[in-house]
Amino acid sequence: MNVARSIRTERNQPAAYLFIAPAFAIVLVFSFVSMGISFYVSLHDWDGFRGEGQFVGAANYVRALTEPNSVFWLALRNTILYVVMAVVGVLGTSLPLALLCRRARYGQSLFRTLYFLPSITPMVVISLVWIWLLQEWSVLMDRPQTALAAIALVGVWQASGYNMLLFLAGLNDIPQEYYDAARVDGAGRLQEFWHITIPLLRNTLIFVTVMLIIGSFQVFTQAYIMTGGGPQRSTEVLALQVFKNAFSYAGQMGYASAMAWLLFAVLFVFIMIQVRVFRSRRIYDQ
Amino acid sequence: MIDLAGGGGRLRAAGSYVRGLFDRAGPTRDLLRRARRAAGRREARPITLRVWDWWSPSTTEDYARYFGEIERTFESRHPNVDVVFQAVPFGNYEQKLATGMLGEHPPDVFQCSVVWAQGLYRRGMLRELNDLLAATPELQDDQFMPPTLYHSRDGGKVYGIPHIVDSSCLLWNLDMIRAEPSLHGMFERRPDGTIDFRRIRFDAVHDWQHFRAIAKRLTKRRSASGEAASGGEGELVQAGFELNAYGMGAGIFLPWAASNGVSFQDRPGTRALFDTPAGAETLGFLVDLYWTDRVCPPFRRVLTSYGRFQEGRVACTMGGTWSGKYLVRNTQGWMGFGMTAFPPGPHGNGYSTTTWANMMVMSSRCRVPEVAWEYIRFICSLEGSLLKLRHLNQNSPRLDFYGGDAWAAEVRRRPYLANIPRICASGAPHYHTQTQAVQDEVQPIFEYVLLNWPDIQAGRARFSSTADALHLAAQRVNEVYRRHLKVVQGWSARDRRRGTQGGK
Repeated sequence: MNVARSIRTERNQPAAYLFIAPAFAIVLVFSFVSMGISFYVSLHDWDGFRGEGQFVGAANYVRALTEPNSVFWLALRNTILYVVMAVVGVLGTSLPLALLCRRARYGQSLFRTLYFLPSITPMVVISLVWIWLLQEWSVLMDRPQTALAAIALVGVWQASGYNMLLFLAGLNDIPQEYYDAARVDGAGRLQEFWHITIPLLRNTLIFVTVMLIIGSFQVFTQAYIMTGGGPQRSTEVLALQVFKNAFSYAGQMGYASAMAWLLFAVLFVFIMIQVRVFRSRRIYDQ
Repeated sequence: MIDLAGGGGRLRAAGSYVRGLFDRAGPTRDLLRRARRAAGRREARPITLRVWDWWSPSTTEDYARYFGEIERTFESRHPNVDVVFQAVPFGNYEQKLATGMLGEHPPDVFQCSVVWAQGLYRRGMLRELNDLLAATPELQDDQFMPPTLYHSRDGGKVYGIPHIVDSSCLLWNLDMIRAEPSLHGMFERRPDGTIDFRRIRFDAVHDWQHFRAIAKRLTKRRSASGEAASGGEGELVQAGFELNAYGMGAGIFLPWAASNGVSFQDRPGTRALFDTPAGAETLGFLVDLYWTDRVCPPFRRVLTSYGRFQEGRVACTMGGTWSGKYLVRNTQGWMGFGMTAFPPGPHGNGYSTTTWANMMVMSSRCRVPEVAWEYIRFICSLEGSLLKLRHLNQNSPRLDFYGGDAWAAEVRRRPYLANIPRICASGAPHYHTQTQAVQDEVQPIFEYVLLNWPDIQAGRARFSSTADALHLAAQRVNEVYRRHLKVVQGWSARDRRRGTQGGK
């Protein structure tokens, strides 16, 4: 009761609203107002150069979803495939790396720094370097069957280090006593991993997965720099289609905005499902 | 190290070098000018001419010198004018232009690519220049190569003046041709009858069949035992011709199609014209070079179209007339190379290629049209062309440029330039309506044909023939044109209702 009253008292502090006002104003103007404008534009045949357009209602959405030659569905399929590859790839590398790093007796900081370096390197630079690297195995980037995997590989390489740090932080929060107790009870390494590490890492795992899905759905730079959507549209992803329509094709800003909102809708549904399925809860304390 | 003991001369040179470094970058350049002005060493000027370009003083020393001289010369002739260059990356040009036009900082005058020119004009973003042009004899149409005027005119309206000309061309490794005595007929001869191995003849290749034979002759293969192999077998040591399948879209098809009498689109941009038997024949020819004649290296994604050429692994590749200076720079001048147009195909009417001319244009929101026109006149004049030649090794769309001593001297110094005027003049117009959207539609189709030809022949593919593929490509391109036309009609209708001639 005391806690509830304390929260109510804090909510009645006008000064607090003053403190958050600048940050809120920035978010309002640069995120929500922009999103509102984007939605308005999606209902028009809009040309960014002229700053005007004709109201067309849901025509841009209908065109994206139903036009026979619409690239939207192909781009959505490619994007989802990319998300699957990137999420599996990053989880499959960053968690083992974090486990290994935690066990490293010497040079843990060095390994952390080395693995983290790709995360602070601009994706454009990484993409150019990987073009040269992959030219040696041209079969990977040049074939429609494998080009998306090549792009995902680059995404995984960049994101693993950062997510390894998140997992490492989560692992360090697990009390050593649990492992000691498990060992006394005769548990092996694998049992420790499945019955202690994974359950206690659950919240970190959810956070990493959600952020990965959001980030992967917005994949753009690798596709733009490395393949331009090719070969044969095998790496045509949604963000790339939005960019092309908005900035490379005349008068298609409304269509591009509609695609961006459709991407938002898909993402929203995915995240909602995920949050409901993996609802955050405390383990072992209850 | 700076040798201070060496006297004031070296110190001054070092100071000049450091000043030059600062002068090259836009912001620091502006800072220096403000500082000079504050110190009273540079007078304030009432008129500011804002010039946009994707060429930049910070690109290389050459560009810094070019822009420096342009600025000095123009400002000395117009003491009231302060020229402010703003470098805008090519990839963001349209977006930044839109922002500049809708905001309060549009350029007064800018270099415009053919990729955007028609679209910008149709949106009313470019000022018509007919009135100014009528009073300027040195910029009349008869002063320019005809193909260079195509992209800056629309129904009698002039919205740009060409200032550089580019064409697709075939790049030839002259050392490889020289190593084949049977191909020495491809070289020019000197007045005394001896072969000039530094210059390839403009008409070195008679037709497509001849090209095929030359490419075969220049292809070298080696068997596992290390001996020369024939019949398309063995490891490829030297390729006769390079064909890029990835990401080139219509780029590889267009100049060959032009040499076979095929146009890509109609002038207003309403219909694709390449879906013809001659078009299919062109695509078939390219496919055959790769799959039947086996004169090309394996398809591979490349960063530049002439990368393997400059590595000395390919005897002939497709490039542009602009490629020469980069090849010289990248190979440090050691590579002997030459350029030709594309030989005539079975339906062609002589040597051809695709030609386009980027232009100087005036924004419809230009604040000082007379000054901007003076600037365009200077850049597009013979004098401006010679400046570009001196600093950038850039040729010109102007006809009088090629009759002068400067060009002749440059050709003596760089023999690969010799054929460029004829190559450019022989060109058909490059496609120009909704370039990127068209490119994105045709690229997957051309890629598919080039990469999957054996499957197409075996009937296991999406297409049954090159004609089938071109038919689909034309359908997709027509769809882009139809959509674009609808957008343009929407702009026009709104302008009519508003009673204005253009947009913002």
